[in-house]
Amino acid sequence: MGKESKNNNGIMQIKTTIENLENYKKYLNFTRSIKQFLDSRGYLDVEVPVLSPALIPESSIEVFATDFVYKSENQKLFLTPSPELFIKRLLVEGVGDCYYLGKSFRNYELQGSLHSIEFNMLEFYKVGTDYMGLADELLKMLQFLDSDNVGIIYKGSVIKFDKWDKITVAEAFGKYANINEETLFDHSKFLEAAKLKGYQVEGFDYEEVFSQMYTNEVEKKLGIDGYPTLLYDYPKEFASLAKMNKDGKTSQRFEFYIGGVELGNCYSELANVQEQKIRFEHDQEQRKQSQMNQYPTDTSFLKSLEKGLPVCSGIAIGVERLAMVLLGLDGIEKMKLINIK
Amino acid sequence: MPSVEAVKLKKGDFIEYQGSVWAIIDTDFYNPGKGSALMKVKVRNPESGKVIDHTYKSNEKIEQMEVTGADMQFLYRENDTLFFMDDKTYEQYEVPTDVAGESAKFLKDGNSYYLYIHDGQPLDINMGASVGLKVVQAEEVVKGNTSTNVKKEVTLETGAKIMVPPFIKTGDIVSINPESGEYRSRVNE
Repeated sequence: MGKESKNNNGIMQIKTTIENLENYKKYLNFTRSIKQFLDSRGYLDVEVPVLSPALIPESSIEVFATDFVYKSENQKLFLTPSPELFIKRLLVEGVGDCYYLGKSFRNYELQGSLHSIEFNMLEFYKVGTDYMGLADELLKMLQFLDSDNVGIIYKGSVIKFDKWDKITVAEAFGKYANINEETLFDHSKFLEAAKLKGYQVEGFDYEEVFSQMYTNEVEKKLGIDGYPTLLYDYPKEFASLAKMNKDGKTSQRFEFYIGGVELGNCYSELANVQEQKIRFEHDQEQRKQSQMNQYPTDTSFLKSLEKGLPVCSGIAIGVERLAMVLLGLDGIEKMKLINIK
Repeated sequence: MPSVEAVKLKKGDFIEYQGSVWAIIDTDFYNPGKGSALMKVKVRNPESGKVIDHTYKSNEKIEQMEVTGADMQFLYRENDTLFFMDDKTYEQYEVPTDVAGESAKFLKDGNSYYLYIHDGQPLDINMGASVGLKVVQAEEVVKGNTSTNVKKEVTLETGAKIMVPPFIKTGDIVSINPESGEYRSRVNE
């Protein structure tokens, strides 16, 4: 058991968990291997700030705000939930393939076996490729991390990294939730189908009910059948910063899963400045309506996009989660020497 | 029935789901980065012992059951029924053994346990994280077979049989996790 800190009140308590020392050492080796893989393939390791005066608006992520104080001046600063706004600036300037492995912060997350308000994020970007090209690169990384090439055992299933199990979001809803494609993309039909299944739909929108049904019926079935699952082509409502597909209904986004655990999220990066502006305004408006922390939209990010973002694709991976699954641990807290919960 | 936002649900609460009462045994808040935040709960049906997972939207209103509770003395068991008596009112309650599930075999006559009551009926028994029970029968370990990962079976004062390390002797008191039935430690006074 960890030693409790005595002089703390409130929800969060500091715990020294030295019993995790061996796991921590394995975790350190794991992050070194990730860096070794990316360095050897020519990705530049970019260090970027974690405190920023402006952010990319994202309607589903709450942030931490703090105050910068100098003489009588004072300005709000925000802990970054992702290094994306900095990395894309660098891509515009021609830095090429690059990665960030460091802290990111998300507010309004209770601490759990899969969640933490601060965590290590790996984001890597490859120029000249789309999301499927990045999926090939990611698979090579997983093969490199599984150095003895025997696969892993997670929650009783053997998972090997020879290939992806690829499935579209529409196919997955058809297979696991019995929702056909026409229903999935039609908001009123989808909400009606959800109501018949017993979900509360009054007062909730498409995105909310979609997420709930997805978590209850689809997610736990992914990445349990011998290989990691690549779930791709999300409805446009979940496009975020991803390019749209030609069908007008889906976006070039994938997430990957092992044992029902989401491990990373990838986009073919949206380069169209007008489209990006519209999505930012939409997300900022949603943040207002949900009474979330308000922060300035990073308009200089939009200006730098005007210079032209190269064709590229990027992925964000929760490093502790990936380590948890590949090292066979049952919670991200099991590899930390200090836990604040 | 009072309703509560899903995000406020916690271990030990009782909720209504698909027409029956469920005890929450674990919760996990979840912000998937698409759509709204979600609240995953693991619930146990006290009648059947069945455990399932369900995910709510974090701001969804959930019907919470009004549950009271009292310390009760365990009197005895007869077939599939456990008999308890309220320590204060001396009122007697009959509880089907399924309510206690696997942990029923660790109930000791004369000991007090906390019972949850709903509509005048016992709903669930809280035995705590560990129970201490005396070993009434333990075989001597064969010499040379004392490596720490070898376990042996012993009989407890309630009649339950569990696996323990070889150094446990007849007369020892051991601490057990009543949910999993696993040995925790030796707690001789």
